[in-house]
Amino acid sequence: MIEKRNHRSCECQRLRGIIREVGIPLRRLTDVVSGSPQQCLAWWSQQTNQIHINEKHFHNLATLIGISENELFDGTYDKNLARKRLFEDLKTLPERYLENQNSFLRNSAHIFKYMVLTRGQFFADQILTSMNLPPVIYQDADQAINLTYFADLLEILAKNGFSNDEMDMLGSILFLALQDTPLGIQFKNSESLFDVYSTLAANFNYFDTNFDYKNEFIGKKYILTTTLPLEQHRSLKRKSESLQRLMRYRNILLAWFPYLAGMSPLFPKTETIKVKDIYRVRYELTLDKEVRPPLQLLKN
Amino acid sequence: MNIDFLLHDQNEFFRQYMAKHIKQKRLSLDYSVNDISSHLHISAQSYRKIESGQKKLNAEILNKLIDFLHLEENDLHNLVQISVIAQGNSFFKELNPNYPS
Repeated sequence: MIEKRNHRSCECQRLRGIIREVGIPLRRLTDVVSGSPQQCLAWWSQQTNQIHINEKHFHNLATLIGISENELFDGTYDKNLARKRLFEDLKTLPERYLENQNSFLRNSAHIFKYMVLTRGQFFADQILTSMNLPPVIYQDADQAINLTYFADLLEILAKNGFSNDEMDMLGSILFLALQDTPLGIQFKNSESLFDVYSTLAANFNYFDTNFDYKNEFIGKKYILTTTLPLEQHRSLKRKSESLQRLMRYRNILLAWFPYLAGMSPLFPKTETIKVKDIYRVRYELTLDKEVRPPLQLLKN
Repeated sequence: MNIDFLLHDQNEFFRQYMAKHIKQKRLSLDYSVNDISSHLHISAQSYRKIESGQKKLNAEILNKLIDFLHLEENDLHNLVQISVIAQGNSFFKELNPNYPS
């Protein structure tokens, strides 16, 4: 993760610098510089060079305060955030995710679980740390957060080896986090596609309030129109690729709600209208359509 | 642990997801390919085929993997569901005109 380390003395000097900048108490040196308290203090007072500083120590520090290793090493990290994490609340969010906190971490808990299942805890923690989030952040999944977080998470996974098919998977596996919740059980008890999407229509606030949701049930059609005011999401407005990725994710997510009730997914017809600062998508689903094949493992 | 649900239909989607899970578990426990292949009494080459999703698992190997890598039943159930969904997406991507392009 750290690209600019040329030699050990540089690493050692930089680690000391960060410890001073953030104000890490000496009693917590053992969390960063592996060793006994005596060894750590001897290293700090430069009485010994028994401890050789390397990438592992920056990783320890990054994990301790949930700040990207690269940003720590480069000195571009948010020092106030680092100090808040250390002395007040480890779960403090970076400024980037504080504006318009109209969504919840729980809506990405399935992505975190998928990362852990397929890449391991270390990878998942590294992804969070590189976004300046502490690995423990998902312990409070009801934490409010903004839409930029979701776009950033998808972007960083796309950059870290997730194929296009796997990116689509992330929108398809909501069951990993939702199936055992009261809302998940409500979906599970659905007897028809109409029940599934009626439950969704009645519960959009559980997911987020970034979008204006307009629901229409006309005959056998469910028409959902979502409107996102982009002026409230400036970072998304600037990065159209991130926005497109997020919208594709949402499209696939909408299709897979029936799976929570043991039904096949229903992919909507979509129409996108982008006018100035408004991003509007109209999804049309036909609720009586049977989708084949039924989902069960097929033999090779 | 009853492993029947894992042994039924090990299609390519299931094998790929199981392979990813086994690999990350092995790495998190800091085992080499040789460590684990010795434990399973199979060649390293044969084990690599499991970890790349090319080889189906029999009950004996699977039970040893569960034991050696501390695989959890709930995770394995989730992997089965994920592989069903991956297969579904692959199918719909090919045949459903509404699948996002």
